[in-house]
Amino acid sequence: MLISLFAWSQNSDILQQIKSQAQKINSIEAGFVQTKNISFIDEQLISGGKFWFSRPDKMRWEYQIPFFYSIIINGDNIIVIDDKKESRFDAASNAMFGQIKQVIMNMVNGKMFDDPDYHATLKEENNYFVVNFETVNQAMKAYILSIDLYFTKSGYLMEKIKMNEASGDDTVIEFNNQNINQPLPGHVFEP
Amino acid sequence: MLPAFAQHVIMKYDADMLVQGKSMSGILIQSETDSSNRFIFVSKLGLKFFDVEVGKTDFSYTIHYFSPAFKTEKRVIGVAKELFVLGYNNAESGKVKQQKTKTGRCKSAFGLLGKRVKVCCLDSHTTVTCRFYPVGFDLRVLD
Repeated sequence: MLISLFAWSQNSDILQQIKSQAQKINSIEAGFVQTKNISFIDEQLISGGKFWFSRPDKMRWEYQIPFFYSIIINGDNIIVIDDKKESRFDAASNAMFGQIKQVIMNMVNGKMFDDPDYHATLKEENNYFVVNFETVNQAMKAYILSIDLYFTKSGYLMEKIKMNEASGDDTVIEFNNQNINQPLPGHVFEP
Repeated sequence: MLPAFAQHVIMKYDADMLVQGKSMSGILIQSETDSSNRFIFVSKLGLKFFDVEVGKTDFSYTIHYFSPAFKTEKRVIGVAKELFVLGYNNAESGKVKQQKTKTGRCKSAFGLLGKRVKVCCLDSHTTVTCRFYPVGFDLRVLD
């Protein structure tokens, strides 16, 4: 009983440290590799590109290989550039894009820890603290069962995201060459 | 998982589909066996839109997965029809297939012509009738 109470308290401390570290991040510039594992076939879909984030609510998520696809979030404005086609959405009035924006932003800025739609638990895996966010919201559960965020044990830097889908598939995103809290040119958040 | 003995060919496409007025952009994976084509459509962000298997010789389909965000009966049937046509398009050009029609069984030839599919039918009276159907997808093969 005492041991489990101690473990709970220790986990709670680590979660708190990861959360406060995430809240210190004002900007990120990074590369990423996305691997989609499809349960039915032994095939992986691998794509990659660049990612920029600026607190409080600016982000550009850009696939550069094997296709060009970019999502730019600037407040409630969402711009999708698919090859050369540009589409604009309002996160406040488009439920799907509003939700995508919320999930991505909350993962990066640490607000996911306080999101009532998820239940967070901590585990360790090699050099990482892995926070498993189990989806509590029934509507969300139809898509995503849980999201695992991998933080380095050394500096609580998020290096990997794993999304476990209701369909049995999963998507792994690994970040590389991360520049944290460096000035970003404003044009990256424009089309 | 497919049984070990099943022969299947896998193709991947950067795809745009227009189904029931709804535009969907993503990666389309086609897994072809002797009797069916299985199509898995994944958004570029990674979420699966659908996983639908359609017969090669008749319009039968099995829904393995369909995203709740898009799932209406009309759209499911619309997607299955598009995929059925797509299965024909990817078959050998000018391939002859058996097809049931109102006037009985006949042989049909399918071919992709720009944004239309040409379906020609030779019935028991040796009359050839051809129809054109609009195509609701745009594909680019991915390596």
